[in-house]
Amino acid sequence: MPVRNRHLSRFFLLASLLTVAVLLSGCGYFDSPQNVFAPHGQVAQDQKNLFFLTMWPALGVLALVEIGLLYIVIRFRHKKGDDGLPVQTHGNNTLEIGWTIAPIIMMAFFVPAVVGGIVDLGRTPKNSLVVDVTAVQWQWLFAYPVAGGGAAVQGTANELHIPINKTIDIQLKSGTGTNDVIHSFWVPKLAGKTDVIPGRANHMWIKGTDAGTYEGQCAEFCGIGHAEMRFKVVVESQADFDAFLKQQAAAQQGQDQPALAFHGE
Amino acid sequence: MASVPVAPKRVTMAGAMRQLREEAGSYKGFWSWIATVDHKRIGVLYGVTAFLFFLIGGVEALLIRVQLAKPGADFLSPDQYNRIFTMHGTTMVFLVVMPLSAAFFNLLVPLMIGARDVAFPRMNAFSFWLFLFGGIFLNASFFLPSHGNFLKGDLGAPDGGWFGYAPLTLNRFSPGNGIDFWMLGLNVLGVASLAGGFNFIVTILNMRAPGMSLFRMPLFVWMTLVTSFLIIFAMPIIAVALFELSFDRLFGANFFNAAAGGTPLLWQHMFWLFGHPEVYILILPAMGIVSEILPTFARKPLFGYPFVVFSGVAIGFMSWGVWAHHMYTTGLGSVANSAFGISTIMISIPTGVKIFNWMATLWGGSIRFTTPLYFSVGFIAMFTIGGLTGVTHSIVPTDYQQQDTYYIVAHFHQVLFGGALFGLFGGIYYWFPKFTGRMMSEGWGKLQFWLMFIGFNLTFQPMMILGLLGMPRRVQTYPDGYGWGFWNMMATVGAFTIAVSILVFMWNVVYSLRKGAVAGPDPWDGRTLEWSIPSPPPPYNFAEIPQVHALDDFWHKKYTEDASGRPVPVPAGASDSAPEHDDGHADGHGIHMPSPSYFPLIAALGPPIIATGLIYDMAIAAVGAFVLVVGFYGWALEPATEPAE
Repeated sequence: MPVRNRHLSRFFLLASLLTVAVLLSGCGYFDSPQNVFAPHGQVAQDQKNLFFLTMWPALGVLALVEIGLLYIVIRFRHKKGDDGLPVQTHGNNTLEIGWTIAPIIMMAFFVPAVVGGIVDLGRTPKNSLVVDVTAVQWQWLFAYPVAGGGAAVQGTANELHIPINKTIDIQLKSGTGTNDVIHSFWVPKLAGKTDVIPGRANHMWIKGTDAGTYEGQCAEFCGIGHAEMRFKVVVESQADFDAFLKQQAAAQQGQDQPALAFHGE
Repeated sequence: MASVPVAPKRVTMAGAMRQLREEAGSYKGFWSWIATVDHKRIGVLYGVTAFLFFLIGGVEALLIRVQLAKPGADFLSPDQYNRIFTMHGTTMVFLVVMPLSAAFFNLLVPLMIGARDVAFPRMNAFSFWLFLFGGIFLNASFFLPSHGNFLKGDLGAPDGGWFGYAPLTLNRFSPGNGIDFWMLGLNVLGVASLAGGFNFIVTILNMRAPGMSLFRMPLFVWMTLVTSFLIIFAMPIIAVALFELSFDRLFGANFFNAAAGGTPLLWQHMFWLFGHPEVYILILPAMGIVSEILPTFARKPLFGYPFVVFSGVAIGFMSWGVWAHHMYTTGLGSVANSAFGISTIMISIPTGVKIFNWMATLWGGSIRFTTPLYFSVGFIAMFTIGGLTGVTHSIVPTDYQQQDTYYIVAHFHQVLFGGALFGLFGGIYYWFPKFTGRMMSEGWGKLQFWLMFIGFNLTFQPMMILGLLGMPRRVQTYPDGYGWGFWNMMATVGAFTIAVSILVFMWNVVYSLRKGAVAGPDPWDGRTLEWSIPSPPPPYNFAEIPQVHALDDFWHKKYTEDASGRPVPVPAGASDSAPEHDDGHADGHGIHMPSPSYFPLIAALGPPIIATGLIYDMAIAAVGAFVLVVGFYGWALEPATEPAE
């Protein structure tokens, strides 16, 4: 009897947690400016789709195991008075080969999607707009190389502007020399992250599909200022973006020299 | 355990030496513990020490949780936070889970294979002392005066994370001595693990009782063997990485310094080539423990013993081919990411096999709801979540989102806490009676289980949500308005619930040592050889080395199967489990055991002194080298066993 009560209490615990979860979902506890499940960019959207593709089978297996386990410990609990020993099964090869092969088959279905996704994200689409991103302890610097050569237009620190519905080739560089630590460029609502490693030319692409301002954050531990190494990405119309570049270029002319020059360095 | 100090007498050097020697051999008193080479006592020392480090690592976890409970908190400064989370990870991996597993190897392997000790008893003692001194060395970095006053909150501990990614760990970015203590301390601990690994491989391969073929070994012994092989191959890799880091920091080399043409990524390859097998070093022993507990309380043999053995061996091999799944976002390219994604998919298969086999072991049983069984079932339930979230990491493009977020923190705590620690606590409850002669309280035990189970889920399930809501790891604070505050508060409440469960456990140990029911040799109706000898076992373990005829040999001496396959007890008197041919060994008289020795301890003092010298002054290193050599010489020249009296 006490045994049964314990299982009941466990069941009620789960049920109440589930109820709380459902209630909370209506109250915004499942949303965040960095929620990866609320994408506003093509890459993040693809990543979300792929996550759900695997999440449902995984939850299915989880339910199978957890409910199965609960069922087994209740059904096969020791009952008072029955002190004989159970039948001593040592194994069952067919069964065991079965539950080795079944997951292999299940997982094999994921392989094309995984490899396809990796290749898609690894290949920057042609005619992308190049943006130079430099991570230093502890801020982000952005520069926009001008088509047809000339000095790049410097952006403002910690604020990246990109035109909507255009693929952007993000060129990642750590430090103004090669003299900084590893950082990681991450805008959860637009795309997953890529590390920024000293001495290594990494790149990734993003594409904002909705106008707006999105939160980004350094995702690789980089020292005392890591938590504050945040930035914003402004996805705006091509006209607004052009105006932004023009304004930045004008501001730059007023200065003696650009704060940072990546090209011809 | 360690009893009162000896009564004061007139102290002379020779008298003191004689007394030390006598007490060392007496199995009584403080010095007999210091000089012990008995695997059971070394196991207890390992366990108690690891538990003390667990308390330190746990307090560090609570400090982290207090800081993160609310947005924008300043309970800890960024500098303190970085040092504390670094030490939390380092402590839990190297000073808690690994040595707790080593405690079980020490306590159980010789008993389970019918041996009187490990193959190299003094090397075993050396392993333990080196682990203890290495752990103290590492934690001493908190108090470095060069970093200010510890009491005012100026911590000197390492600040590079347990993973210590270069170039953040180089002098330019981490001045001070914290990282020096970390890299040298880990190398000291690595030597301790290597010595233990070799010891258990040789013990298992060479010292099994007659008749105990490899496939009659208990599953825990199999998992010890696989783990030991992983240790001896994995530790040298991190040793090389740490040596390179040491050269960079101490002697101005440039292995990882990109500014001088070095390669930061090289560190990551080496660290994870060690680090991923390390994950299995942490979890396989717990899998072995659960595989012993479930059959005992289901009162059925382990379902598919060969499958469980082979899946463990398969995990051991495959663990070498998945390291770059920690590095998907470093830009290794599509081919590498695809290959490691697929290998990560593959390693989930043998792990899944084990879960199904454990469930099938319970199926059809007559399950006794003891505390060890609670922890084992909890292990399966929680480890499954850890395994499935692990599978999601093989979906590489989605991992670009999850890498370095709290989703990962949740995942590996499901494996290392919900898995390894639940298994290890189950093991403590299961074998406590064997080594103390007393049962642990079931009431307190179950209370601990439920507190820990609820606390665990409150702590780590919200972290999974936090990760998907975009909260990165290793941030000391986060702004308001990100939707993270609620879940962080829940995790903090959970962490303190776990802390309460640990207090209950400690009370249970104290209570049970004094008031626990007397256990007798075989309180659980066990299946393996350790239950065939008295509790606690005599120093020589087996008066008569057993002859083994089958897997679960001890069980088959107690039960035989009738025509329908149902087991029935062997009639009293028909059993051959009692040593009937008494040749004078039954009381242990005349069995030669290895003599206690102080030299392993002396030798183990050497490496931490050398490490201190490397940081501060080479003269100190020379002293350390001298101590090491003295220890080894004394060890080599000392007779291994006292001549018979």
